[in-house]
Amino acid sequence: MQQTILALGALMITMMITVNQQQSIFRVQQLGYIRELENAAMDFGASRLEQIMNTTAFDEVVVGATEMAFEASDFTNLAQLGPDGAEHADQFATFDDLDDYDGFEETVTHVMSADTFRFQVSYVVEYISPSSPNVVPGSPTMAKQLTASIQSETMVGDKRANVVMKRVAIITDSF
Amino acid sequence: MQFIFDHISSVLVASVVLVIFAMLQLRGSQTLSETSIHQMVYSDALDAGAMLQRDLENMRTDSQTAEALTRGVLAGGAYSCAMTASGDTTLTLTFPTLADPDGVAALADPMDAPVQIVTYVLEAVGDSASVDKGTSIEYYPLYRLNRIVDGTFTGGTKGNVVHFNVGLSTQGSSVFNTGSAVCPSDLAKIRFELKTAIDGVTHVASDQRSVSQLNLSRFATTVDLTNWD
Repeated sequence: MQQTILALGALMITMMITVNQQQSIFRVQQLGYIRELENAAMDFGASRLEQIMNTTAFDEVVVGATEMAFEASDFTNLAQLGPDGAEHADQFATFDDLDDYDGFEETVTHVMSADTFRFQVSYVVEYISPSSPNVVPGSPTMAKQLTASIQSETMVGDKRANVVMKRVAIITDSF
Repeated sequence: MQFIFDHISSVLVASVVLVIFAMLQLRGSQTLSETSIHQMVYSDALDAGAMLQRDLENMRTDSQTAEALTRGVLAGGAYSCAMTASGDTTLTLTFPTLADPDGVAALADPMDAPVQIVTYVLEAVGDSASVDKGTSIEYYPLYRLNRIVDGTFTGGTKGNVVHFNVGLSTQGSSVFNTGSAVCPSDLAKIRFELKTAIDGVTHVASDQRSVSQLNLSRFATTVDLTNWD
């Protein structure tokens, strides 16, 4: 009887070791999958941010302008960043300036080397000080920072891939 | 009798424990191999991607290359910017780029920076890497991505490449041309995709089979050619 109890105890300890080992194996593999998803997220982010930076104006007042005749105070107020006028908050095709993307969220399908990934992306636009980019100014400046937070829709275990990418647009007189 | 039964159960339990530990050991070594292979294949993809990205970011235009020729700082021939492709695979990519981007800051005139015509050539190595996808095993032909300057293979040559695709896009367009082409004069963006693979862990038994696909890695990015604007 005593030996049977000891044997059962040994089995229980073995089971616990097995479960821990399997969990450890899964965690290691999970990191690999997450890294692959992060690579795809960075690829999407680089392409999307580049597209936004090259197709939208710095600010609403700059749309259609042919020369640089603006002061920082002419730009959209901090409290009014986001879509305005005829722009729809859920349709980025209607966005014509950078701060329209503030608060915008989208779910995208990204194809990379014949593999398909789905991401949830949210954007934040804020003014930054060109001389001290880490300082958030209290009024409009000549520089805006677009931040895209990209999260994989697919979960690997209890984790998702999270990538944050930023681009800064500085308005100059090189129209 | 009680004594014998006690011993039988001990023997049974000991056998079960031994089998479990043997399986754990096997799975543990397999995972170790899988993660090492993933690390190798991942760094292969990143290294090749970083090398190409650096060259593309420092790509020179037609006029900049002509200026380099005039100043005698051009290596590898006259201006050439083109690619050849077969299906969705890019076979060659040739373009002028800075020979030493880090050294430009030290020059009095940045236009004196040496320029070289670099050619990336995808060369089949006659081998393949298999990726176990659970329901099937996919075999990818292996290539080497050669980086050639002035007919010489440079240290940047990368192996284990199973897919290489480059797309050229012009100003204001979001369409990437992945076929054979000469770089358009209003080239604005270049996108490339790389996939690398190394043969995975050997199939041991169906319950120990590795279908993690971690022996395959991808890298892709879009390079904005601000220099060409």
